Amino acid sequence: MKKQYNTARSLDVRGVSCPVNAVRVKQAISELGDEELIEVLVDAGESLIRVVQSINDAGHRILKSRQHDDAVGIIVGRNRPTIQQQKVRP
Amino acid sequence: MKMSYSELDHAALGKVGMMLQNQPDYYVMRLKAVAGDLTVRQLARIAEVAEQYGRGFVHLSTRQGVEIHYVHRDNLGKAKELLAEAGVEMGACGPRVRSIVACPGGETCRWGVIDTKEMARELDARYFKQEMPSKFKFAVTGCSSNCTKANENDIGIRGAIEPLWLEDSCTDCGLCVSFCPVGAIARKDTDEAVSYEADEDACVNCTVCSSLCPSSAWVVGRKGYTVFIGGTMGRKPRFASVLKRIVETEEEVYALVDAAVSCYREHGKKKERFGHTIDRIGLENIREEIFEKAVQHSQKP
Repeated sequence: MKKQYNTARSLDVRGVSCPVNAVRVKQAISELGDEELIEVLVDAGESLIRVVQSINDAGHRILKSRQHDDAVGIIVGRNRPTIQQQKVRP
Repeated sequence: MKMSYSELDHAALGKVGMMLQNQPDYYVMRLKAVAGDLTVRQLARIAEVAEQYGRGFVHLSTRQGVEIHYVHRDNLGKAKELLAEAGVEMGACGPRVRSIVACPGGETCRWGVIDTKEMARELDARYFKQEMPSKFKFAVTGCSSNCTKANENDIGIRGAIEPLWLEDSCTDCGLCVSFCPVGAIARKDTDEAVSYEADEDACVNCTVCSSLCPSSAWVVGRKGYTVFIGGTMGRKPRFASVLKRIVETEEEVYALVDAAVSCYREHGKKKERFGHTIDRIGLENIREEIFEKAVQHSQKP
């Protein structure tokens, strides 16, 4: 059964180089309401790795991804304090 | 200490890292750095010597070392002495084990799987400057990003992990399929369940999945070292062959390295690089012999 995600917002950072893509994504996520979701479109490859790394480090929640031709769509929700604590690196 | 001209035996000087330049009477002083590390005190001394006895510059080699150029033969002894006072040793030239190169590794790099510097220091203590059939290069690199190019060296050691998927933690976000750099992860959807699998042959043993999985469903299953043999660039380039994909203990790494070095000494012709010896004898034959020797080695008391 396919779960539906209600993404009110979206952000396309294809073609934006590192680390600007990750910064823009983080900024957009920080503007989300608690239950809001955003779909972020990122170039596959190194950009995807950098952006995911930055989302994880901030403790945000990645719920689903969709693979497009040369890009990946990631559905993300804002962090919750407890998750953030877990994700802090030593 | 001033050297007399009769003492200047080029082969002997090469042994201690001094090479005659195109300019008669002038030498390159090749200095040793293990894993590319030098203290600021050492750097200051190198600068002093380059100023006083060289021409006020240094050359950075491709093997993370420093060379002082244009040192007159009459000053080699004095320069060497000054460097030694600060703990700067001479590098290696000719048919022997060269400076051990390494990336910063797990100590500082988020992708590093192993302590590369510690291993470089250990390899340095065991093999540096030892005589070999030809030049012999070691490299240690922390992960599959392969920054120090393990497979371009006679023996390369690369940090490696084998990923493991935990069904209970997985949220089926599907991201791993996209971010795996070599497309080794596949999602399997049957009527009963969804699962993710990493294709062992395609996997390059990096840590992208185990580091990036948002729900920590990909974790490090096994961790260790990939040992490569027979890599070389130069006139007849040859990428290294994998001796063993995942070696789990340091002891086994050293047993394998010892065995590989001993095989090369036994079979290698003068001036023939290890990789070319391997091609001449056959990879499978050499691997078999190395594994046999390594077992004998580890059985020694």
